Amino acid sequence: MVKHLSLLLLLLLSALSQSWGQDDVPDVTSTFAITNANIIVKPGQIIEGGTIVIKDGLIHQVGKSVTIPIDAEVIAGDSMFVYAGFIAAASHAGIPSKEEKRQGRPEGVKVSDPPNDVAGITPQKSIRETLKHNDGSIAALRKQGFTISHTLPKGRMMAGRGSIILLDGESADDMILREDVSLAGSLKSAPRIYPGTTIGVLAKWRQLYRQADLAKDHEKKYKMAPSGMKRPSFSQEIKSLYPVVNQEVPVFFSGPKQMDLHRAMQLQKELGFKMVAMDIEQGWKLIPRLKSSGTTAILGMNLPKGATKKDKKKDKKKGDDAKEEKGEKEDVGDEDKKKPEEKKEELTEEKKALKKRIKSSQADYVGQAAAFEKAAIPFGFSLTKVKTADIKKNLMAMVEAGLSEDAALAALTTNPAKILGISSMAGTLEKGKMANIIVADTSYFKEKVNIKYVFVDGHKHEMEVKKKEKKKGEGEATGEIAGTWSYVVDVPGDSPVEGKLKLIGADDSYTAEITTDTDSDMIEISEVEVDGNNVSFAFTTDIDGQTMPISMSIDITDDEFEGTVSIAGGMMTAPITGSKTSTPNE
Amino acid sequence: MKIIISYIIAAILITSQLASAQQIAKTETGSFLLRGGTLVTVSNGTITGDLLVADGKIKSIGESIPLPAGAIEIDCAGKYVYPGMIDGGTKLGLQEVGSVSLTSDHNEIGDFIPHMEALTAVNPNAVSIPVTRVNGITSALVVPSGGSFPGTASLINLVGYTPDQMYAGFKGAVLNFPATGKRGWWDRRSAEDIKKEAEKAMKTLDDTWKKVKLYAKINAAASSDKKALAGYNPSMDAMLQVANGTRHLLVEVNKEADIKAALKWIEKNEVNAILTGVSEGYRVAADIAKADLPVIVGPVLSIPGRQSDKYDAAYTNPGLLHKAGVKVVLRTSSYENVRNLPYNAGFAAAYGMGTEAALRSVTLSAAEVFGVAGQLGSLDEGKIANLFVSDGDPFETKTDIYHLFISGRKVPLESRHTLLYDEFLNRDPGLKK
Amino acid sequence: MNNSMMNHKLYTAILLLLVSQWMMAQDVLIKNGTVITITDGVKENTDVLIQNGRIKSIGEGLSAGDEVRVVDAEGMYVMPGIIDAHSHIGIDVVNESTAPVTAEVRVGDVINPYAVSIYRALAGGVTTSHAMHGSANAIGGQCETIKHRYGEEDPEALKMEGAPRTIKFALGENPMRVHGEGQGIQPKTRMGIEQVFRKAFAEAQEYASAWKDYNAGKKQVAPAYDVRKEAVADILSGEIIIHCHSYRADEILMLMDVLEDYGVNQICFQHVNEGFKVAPELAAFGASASVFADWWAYKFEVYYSTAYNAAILTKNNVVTSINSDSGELIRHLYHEAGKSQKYGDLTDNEALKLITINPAKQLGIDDRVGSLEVGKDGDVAIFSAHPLSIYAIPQMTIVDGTVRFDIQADPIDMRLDIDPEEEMPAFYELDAHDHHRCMEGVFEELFMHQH
Repeated sequence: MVKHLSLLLLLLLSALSQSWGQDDVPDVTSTFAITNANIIVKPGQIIEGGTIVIKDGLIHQVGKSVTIPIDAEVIAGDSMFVYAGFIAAASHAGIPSKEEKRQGRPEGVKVSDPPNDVAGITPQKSIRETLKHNDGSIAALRKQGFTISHTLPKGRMMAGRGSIILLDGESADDMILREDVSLAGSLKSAPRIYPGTTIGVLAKWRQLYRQADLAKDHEKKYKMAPSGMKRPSFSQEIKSLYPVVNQEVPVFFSGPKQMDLHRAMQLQKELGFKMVAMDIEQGWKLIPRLKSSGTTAILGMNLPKGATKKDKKKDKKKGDDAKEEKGEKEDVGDEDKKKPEEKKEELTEEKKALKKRIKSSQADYVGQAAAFEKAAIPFGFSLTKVKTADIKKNLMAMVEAGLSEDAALAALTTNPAKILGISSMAGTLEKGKMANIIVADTSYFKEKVNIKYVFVDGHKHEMEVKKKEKKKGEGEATGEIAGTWSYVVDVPGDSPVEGKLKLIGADDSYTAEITTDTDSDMIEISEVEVDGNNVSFAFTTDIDGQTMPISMSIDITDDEFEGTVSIAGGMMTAPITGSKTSTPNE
Repeated sequence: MKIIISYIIAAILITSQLASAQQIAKTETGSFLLRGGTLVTVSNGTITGDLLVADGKIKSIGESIPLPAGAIEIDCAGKYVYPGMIDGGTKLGLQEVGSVSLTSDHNEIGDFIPHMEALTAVNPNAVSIPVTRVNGITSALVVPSGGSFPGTASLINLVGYTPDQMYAGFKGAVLNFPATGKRGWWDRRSAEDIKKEAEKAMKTLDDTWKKVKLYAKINAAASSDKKALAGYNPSMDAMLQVANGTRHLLVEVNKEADIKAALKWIEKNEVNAILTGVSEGYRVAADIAKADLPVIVGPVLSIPGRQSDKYDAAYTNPGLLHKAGVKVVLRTSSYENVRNLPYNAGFAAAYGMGTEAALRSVTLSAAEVFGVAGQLGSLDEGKIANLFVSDGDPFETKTDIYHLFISGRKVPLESRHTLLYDEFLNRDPGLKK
Repeated sequence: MNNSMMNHKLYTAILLLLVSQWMMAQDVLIKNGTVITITDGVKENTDVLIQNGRIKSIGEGLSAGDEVRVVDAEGMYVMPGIIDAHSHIGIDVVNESTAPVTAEVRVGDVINPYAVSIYRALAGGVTTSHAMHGSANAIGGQCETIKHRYGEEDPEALKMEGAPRTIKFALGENPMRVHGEGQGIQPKTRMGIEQVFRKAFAEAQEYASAWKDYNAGKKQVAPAYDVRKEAVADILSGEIIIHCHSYRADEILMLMDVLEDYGVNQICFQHVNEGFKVAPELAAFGASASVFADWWAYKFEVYYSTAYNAAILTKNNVVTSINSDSGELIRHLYHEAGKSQKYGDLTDNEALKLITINPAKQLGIDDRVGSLEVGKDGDVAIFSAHPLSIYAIPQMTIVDGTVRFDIQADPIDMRLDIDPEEEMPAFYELDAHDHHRCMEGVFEELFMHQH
């Protein structure tokens, strides 16, 4: 009953939010003409002073002398720049962050042989089940110019199947362009259950893949001549790997760091599946191998902290860290106003060299995209790890590091279209393609560009000032502390620990209850200190017969938090992240 | 004749020891004349001559010393006599079995607990003690660990039935100076977090120190009228001598920036300090020398603190500090393998310190730093007879030790390790039942 | 590219130049050293010529062409590259500790060629190490014998080609604590550990015979594939050498009994602190032993240890090696070997065998490395003094004819992969030696399980 009630509440809420978002005034036309604009048909092909006509969700006309239909809403595109809508080659757009959080290890799970779904093995899972048309991530990405996303489920080693979706629509059905086009693969291990480490994950990949290969043969043989043969009976996980084993569906394998990518490529070589390497952050040294093996590459759009110009400025403002590390200031240059009493410390040759190496390393990361361009490997971008707000900044940093604007644009349009097999319908502003269009007030590659309109499938979205967007997206009050949060502690050298944290109370008086997914014991915490958005508390627990004092300090931003767990007075610390699963009245 | 008697005694001892497997023989008391050895005095060069041990002391050093009545003569021709080595930082006797926490007595609960006395918890019968001393280590500082002021360390000699019998005349309060390094590879705190924590710790330290000074002031003023003091305050009482400079503060600090901060803090508060750990001492060796503070460094056999450091940073650190004019003492920080002190010294010697300086660092320098140079650290008349006889350089693994004296007692060269060797080298029965 | 960028690249360029020099396997002629061959005595004033990565000749007054790099080793000692039969350097994961049997996992999957610990081992004369899975499970993962080709960036290039497969077993406290105490499943006792082996072996035997029947056409449908049983079956067929973490005499005898029942005879007991108690039994079985020089007392099962272990085993004709199990110790294995002279008076050659030919035998690579012999790999360590002396400083370490460590050209910062998010390389308060201790106690359950 309670469950039903909360469901009802949820429905009510979403209905309400929809009515707020909808215009009362009906649309009068679905035909649009953007006139006298700089139309970048595709990377390297620009029509100056051109007109583009959108009709029935398609690009109806594009060119210099185009007749504007009488039912068209005309957008005077004077001096504006028009681009094909961006395509995320891989992202989690539309998957609510709370949905993917594991429910954790259920009671009585066998650590050495947990059920597949708990272990992160759900290749049968389609995103249709979790995709939310009104998830905030969709509007946020659209605002950045994205119109299509290859959305992969979140999860571990085999998270499920990805689908290509339009970043606009009234339902999952409405949005899905092509379903189950990929398998999301990674080396992510399960929390303190098998496979709990990268070596376990790799072994499990081998196990499942070869098992599926044999199962597929068994089914085939049985179909032909069942008499006298044991009836095949395989799990849905195994069955759903048949298209992968048959090389009909590629594995989009996450390989951020060089070693991850190497390991994914080794596994691919051994098992022979079709692979697209994605989330690549440190792949430049593997360019020759990617090239010779013909592996398709999708680069991560995230960059290391401190690697982009804006980051550096921010860091500087925060004030520097330990005195010894002061040297940073020297390189930052003129704007830096030192306090007069603080003498600048002379850097030793050794430290100068160290700083140079770190900068050089950062330059390598930022320059990765340019290196791929130079090696003539076409690539798309994955948005699985980047903060949406950093997309443009990071792209510009890559451009500054040598990535050409054409290649950057291709990585957002034509390349992902090709990788995803949708070149015939998306990726350029050619006649007949889907009307996925960005209209910007100047060149996209200018720092102060404003995206004015984004058309998805012919639907016009006028981009508003930031405030309004935020209201629409988030809905709930930000920074609310009370509620139930799911958390993940990234235990160094081991699998993460997950659980639930319930913060109870209001204003300045809070208590907390904390549980882990590995055992049922609940710990009550009577004193919770709240300072702004910072929440801290301490408790003790038994680990291996020892009483361990544990303290946590978390910073809450909207429905997420991050912070630090400190064990035994700081003998060990680990980062903790969390997200809200419910507010107190749910 | 005496020699024959001592052989007979030895033979009896061996048989009795076989009967009572793994029981270490008693130490012997008496007078012993070490005849004709090469005496590496550390204080006065190397000489060939005789050394008489009597009444627990080095009674005399010289040529052709007549054998006193009742004394046992030990032929040391071709052998070397060294002062016993002193380890500047161990958990010897405070820990029996590493993973069994209830055998661990060095880490008490509390952040400001200088009244926790390491000496109280030293187990005179810890299995590690004979294992240590048979390698020529005769004294060790036993150090509590844990929070900011985890307790008071004591210097002990490695023979005795009670802690008091072992006590060797030095105590120092331990301060773990606020550290801005990572605690280990598992420590994932951001640089920001570490900085914040260290700042907080620094503030706590300053506040604590203010209180210590205030307490000392009130205590001095109230010396005639103890009632003026507010009740039972053991932790503050334990700091009184540190506050007035008559007891050392052992300041554990390792990272370059932290060492600099510690030097400042020590200077500002006029603390009578000894720096311990000092892994990155070589980066600020001149500053330490200028502050005229001694250091207890080690273990020398360590990996460098940073991934970017030269592979031999820990090997060369003692030598570089020594060359900068710092008085260097070495430590193993161990409980079961304090016996590796000579090898830590050997690595320091090989990597720049030189054998002579390295030997001094584990003998006379240590005694000087601990204020017991009148009794320990060299072969000088009147000092306590802590010494050993070997067939060569004790830093070399090939070198064997033949005789060992601690507090003037002749110590059997037995430990669990030697006894197991004796029993199992030629096992009987072998394969058969 | 602007000026400062140029500067940034410069340091990297210099390092890469160095690395590229390493990569060029150059022929090397080591002149006039005292050559400790291990298998053929010590030769004064002798030269060693390495060509195409192999030892071409050993003798007096050798000469070679202009393109050969000549190393003057006068007054120095030239010995075979040191081999560590037990380490965990160069791998990103040590333990898959979630199940009592994890024979299917392979640390060879997670080799990290950027681990600075590899360079530090080279600076201690170590050219080959046995990168092992941890000791959390009765049957742990498969290990990898790696060559210290630091500078190579492809993890596969570190694997010693052709080295036999090896696997980690573990007895005693670690598997008991992790599974019995930690998860409430067998094994919680040494009795349980025996049965874990017996069950795994029996099931693998059944599995192997089911496949045999299928492959012979006796069955229509393939047996259910099991990557774990595949690996255990390979142990039973003798394809994989067992390296078993062990301490107590009783558990050592137990495993030998189990192995005897299954006809398995290739085993090296690791740590084996109480090996000295059952040395005659080990020798009779043909088992070898890889021990610490002097580690003991860090847990209860090593409380009744003796540093004379290596000597007793050696004198009982057990092939014995001294290992590190530590990124710190691996840097001075020559010194660790020297301790066998302190504790048991081994001869120089007996002591040096503990870190050369004996570990090579235990890893099944003694036809390639472990001694200076014509035709063997060009793996050489050159020392300033006799390697068993405390004053010996490694001068140069050569792997397959490539100079990988040279004290004359040894930059401070030898990292090959720089964390872009770390403003300065962090300082770690505890050295490796200490953190081993840390792991042993309270945090054993939370972290890795090593020795």
